Amino acid sequence: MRYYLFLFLWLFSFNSANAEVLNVNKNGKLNSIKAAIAQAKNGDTIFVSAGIYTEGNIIIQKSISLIGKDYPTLDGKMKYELLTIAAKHVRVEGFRIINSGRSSMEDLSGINCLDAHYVIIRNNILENTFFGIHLSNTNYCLIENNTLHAKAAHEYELGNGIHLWKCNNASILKNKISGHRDGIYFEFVTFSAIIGNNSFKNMRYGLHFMFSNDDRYEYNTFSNNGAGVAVMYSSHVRMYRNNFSNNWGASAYGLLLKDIRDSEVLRNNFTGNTSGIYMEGTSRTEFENNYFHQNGWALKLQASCDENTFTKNNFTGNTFDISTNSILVLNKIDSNYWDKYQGYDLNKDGAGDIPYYPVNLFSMIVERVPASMMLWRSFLVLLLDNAEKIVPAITPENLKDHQPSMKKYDHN
Amino acid sequence: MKPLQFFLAFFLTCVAFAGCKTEKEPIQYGKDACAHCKMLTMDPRFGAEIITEKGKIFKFDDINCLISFVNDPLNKSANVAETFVIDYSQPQTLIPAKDAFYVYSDLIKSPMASGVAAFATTESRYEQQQNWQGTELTWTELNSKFK
Repeated sequence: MRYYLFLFLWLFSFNSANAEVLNVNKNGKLNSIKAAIAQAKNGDTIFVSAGIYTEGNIIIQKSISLIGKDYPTLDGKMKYELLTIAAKHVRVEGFRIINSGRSSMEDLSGINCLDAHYVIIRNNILENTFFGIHLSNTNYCLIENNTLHAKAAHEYELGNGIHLWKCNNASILKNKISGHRDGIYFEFVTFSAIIGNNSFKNMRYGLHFMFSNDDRYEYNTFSNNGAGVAVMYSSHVRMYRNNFSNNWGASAYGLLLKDIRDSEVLRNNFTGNTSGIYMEGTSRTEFENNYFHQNGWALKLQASCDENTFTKNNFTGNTFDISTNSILVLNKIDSNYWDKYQGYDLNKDGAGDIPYYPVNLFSMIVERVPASMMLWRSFLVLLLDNAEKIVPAITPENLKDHQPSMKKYDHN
Repeated sequence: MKPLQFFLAFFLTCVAFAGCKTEKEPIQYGKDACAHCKMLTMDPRFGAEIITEKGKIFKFDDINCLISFVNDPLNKSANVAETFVIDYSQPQTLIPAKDAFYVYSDLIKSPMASGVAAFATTESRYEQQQNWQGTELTWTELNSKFK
């Protein structure tokens, strides 16, 4: 037994010693990446020196490492997909990948992984690509520290920055994505993590989740995107410590939740969005220790949401705290801090003695007739609001915070 | 002079009311959001639109959104007068849903994963079917599929 183990180890070490290093240099003997890949064997490493390489579509079907020194440029001349990876254990590092082709029929990409698995894509710069990094049926991949930027005259000429379709156990870490359709797009992706990314100025969503369960995203910043972040038709999604800011527009949201179950939204920051969170068909989800600051609507809670809990959140400087389209209340909203709360705390237990009603009359009216917004802050509206507070007629009487906090929570 | 003025007013009113019948409206990709899933429309090869009897227009990013919307009891009051879908082979062009030819295939990556593409003619459908080899459907079959 021991002998076999020794033999195995010996073979293994022999194998790794056999791995070769190939150097591609514009002025050297080996001056084409394609030629280097053709020569390489599984386990080899190809170093590519600086220069511009226009070799069309480079296909990798071997387990190799392709490493750029001083950011060699791969130029697709607006015609080709740049790198296509269809092998396991491939590493692509340190390239500048520019000008991929565009097509309405195919998802041409900067880097495309098909049935690849265990791929590492790190420290690359992608400019003016249709889809940036596209993965399908690829598990256990690591996408780290890449910078992606796209630009196009029309929205529909843009693909997604980092696009995953039918993958699991992916790690998307510390990437910067801007100018794409959706910064990061997940469809049928499970058990994956998105951490520390910065997704900004994308045409549609900074992050877009569809039919992707058991995923987690933390410490990301999503700002100035066309429509914010959308998490849809998924369950068991954990959203922690993200920053959702400055997503302005008629159909823009900090976070759009649609048909979400059993998820957690904790310690996030929602600042300067038209709507902080818009939720529809969301159930059994916890919202805790979030900070809603200077949004048009902090929270738009549609009738189809139930059994969600909102506790220990801070609501400051929002035009409207909560709006809803129904009288029925199936969610628990307790112990939050509201800067509009005008109550008192006589027994000094830190919680207000009278409940706070976060839905005001006018927000209900605006919900039905958006144009009535121009009457906001008029004297009449102020009168109506105060009358409604004393005798609730339209606003849901049961939607209230029983123990509003007197002090702002310190979430740090 | 008086009757003339009256007729003129009558005529103008008629013209004004005749203009009230709502025409289909192009989907503005990148600006219009889907009435059902709230997603911003982006892919000009997919989309749909309904006009209600009252003349209200609802736009959708994918055909399954339209069907779910119409069958949602919350939207019962919206009586659909006309239904349009986007022709896959002529992006951004709305065609009547009843007369369109449909394909369902896993290979069609539509915005809401319906996997359905619509075509104005059987020829243009046949052209795409070369790559997809999907199931061909009619509007009625499609409706029962996503109901």
